[in-house]
Amino acid sequence: MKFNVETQALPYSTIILHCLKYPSKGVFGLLIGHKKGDKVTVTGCIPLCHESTPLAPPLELATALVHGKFGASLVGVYFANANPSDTSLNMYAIRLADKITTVTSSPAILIQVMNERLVSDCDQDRLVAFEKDGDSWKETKTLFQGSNFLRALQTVIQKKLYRELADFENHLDNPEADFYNTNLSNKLVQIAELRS
Amino acid sequence: MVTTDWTQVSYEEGRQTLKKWRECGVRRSEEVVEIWEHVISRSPSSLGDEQWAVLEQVCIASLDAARVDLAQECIDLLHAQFPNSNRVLKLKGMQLEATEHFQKALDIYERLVEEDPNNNSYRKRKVAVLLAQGKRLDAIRAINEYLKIFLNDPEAWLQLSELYLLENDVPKSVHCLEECVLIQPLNSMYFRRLGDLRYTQGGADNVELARAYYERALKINPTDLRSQYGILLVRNPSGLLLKDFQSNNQIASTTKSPSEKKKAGLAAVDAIDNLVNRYQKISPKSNPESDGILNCLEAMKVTIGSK
Amino acid sequence: MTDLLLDPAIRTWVFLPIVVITFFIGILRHYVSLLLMNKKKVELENIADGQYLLRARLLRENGRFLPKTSFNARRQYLCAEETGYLSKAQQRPAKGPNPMDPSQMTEMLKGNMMNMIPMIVVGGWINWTFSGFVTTRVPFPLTLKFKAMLQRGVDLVSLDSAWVSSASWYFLCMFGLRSIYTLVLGSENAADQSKAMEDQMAMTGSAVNPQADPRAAFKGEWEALQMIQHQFAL
Repeated sequence: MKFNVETQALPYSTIILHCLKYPSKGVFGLLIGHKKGDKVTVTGCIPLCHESTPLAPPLELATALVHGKFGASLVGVYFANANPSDTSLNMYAIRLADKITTVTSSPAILIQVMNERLVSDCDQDRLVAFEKDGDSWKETKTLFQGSNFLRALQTVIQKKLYRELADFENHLDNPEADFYNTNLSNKLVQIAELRS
Repeated sequence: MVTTDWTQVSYEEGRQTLKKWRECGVRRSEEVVEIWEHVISRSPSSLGDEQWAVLEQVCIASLDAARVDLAQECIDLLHAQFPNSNRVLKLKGMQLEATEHFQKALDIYERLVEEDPNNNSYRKRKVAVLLAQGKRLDAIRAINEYLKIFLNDPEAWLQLSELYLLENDVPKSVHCLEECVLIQPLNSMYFRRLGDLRYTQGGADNVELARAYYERALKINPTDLRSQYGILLVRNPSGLLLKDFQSNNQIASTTKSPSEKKKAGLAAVDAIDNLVNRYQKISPKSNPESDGILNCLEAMKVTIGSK
Repeated sequence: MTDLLLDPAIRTWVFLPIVVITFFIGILRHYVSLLLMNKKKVELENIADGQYLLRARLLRENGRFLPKTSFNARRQYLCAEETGYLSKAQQRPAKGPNPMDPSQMTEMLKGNMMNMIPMIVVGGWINWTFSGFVTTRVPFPLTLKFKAMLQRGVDLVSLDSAWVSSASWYFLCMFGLRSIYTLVLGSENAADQSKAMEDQMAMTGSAVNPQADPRAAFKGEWEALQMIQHQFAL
């Protein structure tokens, strides 16, 4: 089965902001969305942590909390490697995706941020999606929605909104931080509407 | 989350902030550069002797934030003041690193180590070059070599532990963190991480150890949310709460006697109570989702209580 | 008994000059010693030695936070018969500052010269130039025993022991200026006479410092590690 993965503007921006907040580290997060036939639409994402080797306890907790909230909408995992030229798949991300597959009993997808493409002008897709094919992970098609919202993203980055993003690790350090990023998402939506 | 606009702070505040970050070694490079460019650089000389330390800090931060031009400015100023300083040479090496001239940077560090074999920072830079090049195994070897001499350096042990984790070698990673604990037994972070690692390893003995470490971490730092959650995880009777997500841990449910199980259940309820207390103090304004988590926790408590 | 009155000229020509002279001699000493002394170089091996000793101590103190297997592995690593660092270090041939080594000799000689010569010369000169003055008095009464200390060079039986003679004033200044030097020259200065004396004392007293004889320290640590009973504290 070959999926077409479409990442909506909001999760796309959040993932990029998460990377920008921790430029020197790898990041991890969960993807929320829905599947229709062979099309996967990612409608939201939850940043989890900013290290390349997340250990079991925080991941288990976060996934359990998110699963409790979103149930079967949990569709996969996104990650970025710490080293910009490293395009290998992170083992911990794969494990987490496998876990999600067993829990939601439908195949999870994996999205990798291509660090090399994270340049200041936002005009190309930086996400690459993977799906499990037998034992290995294969790249699948991503649907890129054009550059309209990317210009909005550029304003967001210039406003340094990525500093307001919080991931689950931030939340554990300080429970005031909201790892669902409700407020930030509202701001993002506002800015995008202003642009269009 | 509250964020400050660092371009608008007063001179004195900027100076204090830089000093604080310098002393605790936080990595907030972009913000450092902002404070420098918008606030401090108006009159660096009024810092007095502090300005050289600030310049060094800004130089490193600007390299981290990919502002090689600013770094060059700082290096020039520092070089004019201390023409023969090894410390300035090291900055030069870091600049070469940032511009991906790894071999040249290595040559500089090589020379610095030869000149002053007792200064460990040059050796650490060499490891950093290897990491930047993505040569993980070489880096592991280099750190091991380094730790044969400077074996009481928790920073190096922590880095090594992370590298072993990337190689999926949990036992070695545990070993490295145990070294950190030996060196700084009052740092709750090391205990907590050790707990995390032991839990990740799985198996009844390791989970028991994880519990001990979490409790220790919580004793040192009673407000540590991670350890509180950690205790909840390890005390969680027979994987009840997160049964779908528990990795390879059958949480020792097979070996435990009923009385022990009950004890674990009580401890879990305790842990939840602590967490609930913690979350109740959070205003929904700053974290709109805290109520949701609270409900989740209450539900867990009910499930445990009914068993 | 009428109080003793001092000529103001004593203040200007004896009291203050002694303070100023001692101060500048100290500064001079600092710079001359900077010129003569080469910086002590610490060998890499010494650092490693210190680190391993520290490590053994840390293991003894904080080993209780590790599970037994981890603790034993580390103890084995440090104390193993053939390969352990502590055991190997005990068998190393004796090193350390050899008193017959000519370079060490000159180093020590330099140090001593720096202390002794100014002391003798300036002390003698002050004694000779300013001898016999009563310069100041301490603002509290003192017992007779202090006369020998405070009134060197003025042997007057009837003089109250609170008065200070010029020679004694010189010594007081010499030892009392330490904090002023730290203020002026920073904490690592060589101007301070009393510190130099302490160093000498330590050298002759052969204090137990790991640099002097690492083997003894290693042996001590080795024994202590062997003795310790591991108990998991958590």
